[in-house]
Amino acid sequence: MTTTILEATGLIKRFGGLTATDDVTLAIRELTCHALIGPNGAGKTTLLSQLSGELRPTAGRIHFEGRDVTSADLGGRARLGILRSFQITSVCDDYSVFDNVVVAAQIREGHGFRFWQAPRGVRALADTTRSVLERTGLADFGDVPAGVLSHGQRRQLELAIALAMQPRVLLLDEPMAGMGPAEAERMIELLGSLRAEYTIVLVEHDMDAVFNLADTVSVLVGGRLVASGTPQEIRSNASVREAYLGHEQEDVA
Amino acid sequence: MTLPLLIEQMLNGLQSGVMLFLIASGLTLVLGIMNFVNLAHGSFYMIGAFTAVSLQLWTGSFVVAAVGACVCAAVAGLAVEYVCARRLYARSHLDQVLVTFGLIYLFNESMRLIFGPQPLASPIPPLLNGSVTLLPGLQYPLFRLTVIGVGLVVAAGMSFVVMRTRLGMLIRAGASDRGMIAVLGVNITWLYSLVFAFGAALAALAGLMSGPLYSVNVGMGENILIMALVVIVVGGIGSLKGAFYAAIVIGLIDTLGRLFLPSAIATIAIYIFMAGVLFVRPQGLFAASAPPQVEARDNGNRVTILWSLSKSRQRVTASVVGLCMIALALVPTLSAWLDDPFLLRLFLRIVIFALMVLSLDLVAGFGGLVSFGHAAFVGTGAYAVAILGWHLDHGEPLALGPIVLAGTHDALVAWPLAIASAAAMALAIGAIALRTSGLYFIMSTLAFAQMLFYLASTPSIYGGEDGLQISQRSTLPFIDLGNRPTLYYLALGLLALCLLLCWRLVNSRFGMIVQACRQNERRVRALGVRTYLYKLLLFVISGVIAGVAGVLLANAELLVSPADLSWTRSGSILIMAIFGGLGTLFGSVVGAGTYLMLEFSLSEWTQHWQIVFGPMLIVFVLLARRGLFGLVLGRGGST
Ligand SMILES: Nc1ncnc2c1ncn2[C@@H]1O[C@H](COP(=O)(O)OP(=O)(O)OP(=O)(O)O)[C@@H](O)[C@H]1O
Ligand SMILES: [Mg+2]
Repeated sequence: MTTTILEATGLIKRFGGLTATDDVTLAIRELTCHALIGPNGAGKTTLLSQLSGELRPTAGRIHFEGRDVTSADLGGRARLGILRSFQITSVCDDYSVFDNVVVAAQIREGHGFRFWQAPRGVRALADTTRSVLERTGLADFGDVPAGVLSHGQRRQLELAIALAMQPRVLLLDEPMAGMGPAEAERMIELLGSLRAEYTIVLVEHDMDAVFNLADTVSVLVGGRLVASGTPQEIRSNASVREAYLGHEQEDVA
Repeated sequence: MTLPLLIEQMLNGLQSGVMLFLIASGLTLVLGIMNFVNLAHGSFYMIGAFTAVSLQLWTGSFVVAAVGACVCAAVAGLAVEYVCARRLYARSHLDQVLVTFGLIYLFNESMRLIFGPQPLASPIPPLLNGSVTLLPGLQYPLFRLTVIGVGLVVAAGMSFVVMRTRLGMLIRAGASDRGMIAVLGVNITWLYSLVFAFGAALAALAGLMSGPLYSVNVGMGENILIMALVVIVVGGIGSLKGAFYAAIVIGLIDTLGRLFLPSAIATIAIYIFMAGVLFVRPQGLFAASAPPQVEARDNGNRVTILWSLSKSRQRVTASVVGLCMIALALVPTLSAWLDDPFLLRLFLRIVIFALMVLSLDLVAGFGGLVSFGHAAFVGTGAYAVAILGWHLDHGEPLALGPIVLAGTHDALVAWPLAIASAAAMALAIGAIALRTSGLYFIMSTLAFAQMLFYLASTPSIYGGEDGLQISQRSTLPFIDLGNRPTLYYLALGLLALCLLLCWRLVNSRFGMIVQACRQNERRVRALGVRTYLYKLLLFVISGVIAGVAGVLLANAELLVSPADLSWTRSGSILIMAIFGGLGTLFGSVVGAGTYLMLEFSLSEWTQHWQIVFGPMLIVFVLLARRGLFGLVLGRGGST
């Protein structure tokens, strides 16, 4: 249970003068949920983008299953099984929910240079798609164009697309952002059910969700990793309280 | 080559460069700020030239003529902005292209009505007549020097306005981030009108100065427009500085190229240069930091995919398609019965054009790749057939590097070769054009097609501007294509086959990925798909279908000419695709049929049919967005 699947060492990302990721070393263990928390602008998205291959780090290395993947781009890492969902939802609006997922399922099967057979009609792909939709609570919306879904449903679809790819590591950036309480509740439940089967890196502001779901929590402040540990450890960590939780309470006050 | 001659030629290059800048600057500002593609920008150049000539003949004063021409073009610019452009800022580039294409028809035909078809001669104003001695042995015409001077002064003035004034700040803000001016609380309507009118006046300035140098004729706007498009693609959309340097460089390349390069290469030197630039820097040399956000907007015209229709709709659609095909199959019988051979001729043309439109629909409707140079692929296929035939007839083998062909009329040899040439052309053009996206894609396909057009127009054994006659139809075993109905049935059969194959294709694994790319390429790439390869392959497949259309066209007309490769042809194909409804496949038949029948009946009625057709096109695009076949399909996948 404790093999490291994804590992960042000495990761640094600078935007001009700003150091958005400041010497972060992080190990994600297989089949665990690893949460990244931190105040706004702490560099969570930036870190996630480097893990997913969207951003190239200024310095440092990233290893996936022992392999150096630092120079692989977003697509290259997706082919390895590292998938991300975006903070801003990104699906194919003209396609039905079913088609969005079936395309992902077929991409997972290999190249798409096949010109005759319609993937919708392929039993295996349709089955995968249906089970993913079932799982993500979209089973009743298969024929609905993605463009008319509610915000929360679009986030579910985003997750369904990622699941259809049967990823090794799922990078989720604020999957609950902008959802109503009921929708968020469902999403938390769903993520909870995925925990046993997938390795998840979760960026999230909702502390309840984080402490519920995560096996490990890492705290970023100003690009630096200030603490890392089990939810209990983080909750009781004085420096975290001060640097982050305390800070948040000030914000609220 | 003597030094004075070289200097003289460089000055000529500079002179054509500053003229290009005058046109490109307005175009690039309108593009950068309003995100609006104005193909009719060349019309302001033409209007400027015509107005200046007539005012000068009438009043005898060049100054009055010059001022009058600029004012006239500015007013025309304001009118265009107010009536059309304004409604299209938020629409797709495709809509903008079509409406401004309609405007070109309107303006060109109006000029032809007012001034007649003959080119006008424009005298050099007496004050600027004569030449100056710049160096011993170097006499240079004073008028050209003045043009250079005016151009540089305008460029300096614009640079001052843009860099130093509040207005310039707004313009710069608008060009790099359109949302920004809205935030600044500026009256955008006013700014837009101003920029539009100013750009039109600058184009007119170039037009009136071009009068004494070149000739004043209808169509002068289009040639210069395409060069200006090359300029802004090279310079980077929205960048004045880029437009300036690119214009000068392109002016120089064009002028000096004619001096130093073989003529066939000289005519296309600037396009080769553009291809090189795009290959290295897909956003042009001086592009504003962020690429314009255009990809998402180019989806506006799509209707639906057939699969996503409800069962009953599918049935209706299938019946309509079936009935249409049966009706088409009856045309030869009907034509014979009515003893009206023209009917068959028209429908043969419709079937062949439907293939062209289908080929375009595949890339534009399903791949979201709006190619504005599709005639190039059709023309390549047609020319290949003609050239192979020519070599057989003249007994001169055709040497392509190490391969020597005797030439042939045999369809089993010529057609595959012709289709392969079209596909190869699509591969070459696509490989470069697909490195870009959105607007750059539209413009680079247009420019590459234009390159082939000029190549075909260059005098050569293949007839140059006059085109190339084909002595006979291709020969097939057992089938006599010399018989028109037979050719028609073959064309119809190929059309049906291509429709069927395309229908499978767009719903296949490949097609699903390609369509996903159109909707959200970032998403698909994030899933690990190398989207470039998919788009390129789609482009090549489309080239194959275009090649089939080209082969049939050559056989139907027995003449190929540069007109078959021209950008007006590409534009017509695009219009047909929109008429039928993009992304509908069968809409191609409906679109081609509607367009050609409309063209036929309008031209029966008046020779100036374009003056009616232009506005019709504009109204159609402004009102009906889903195409005619889209109406049959009904409400599609998206709301
Ligand atoms: N492309 C970029 N260019 C320059 N600066 C950037 C870029 N992306 C992020 N930054 C900066 O890096 C810092 C970290 O940003 P990031 O988006 O990673 O924070 P975050 O923790 O995800 O914040 P939030 O909770 O608001 O999502 C911020 O100061 C941000 O302004
Ligand atoms: Mg973030």
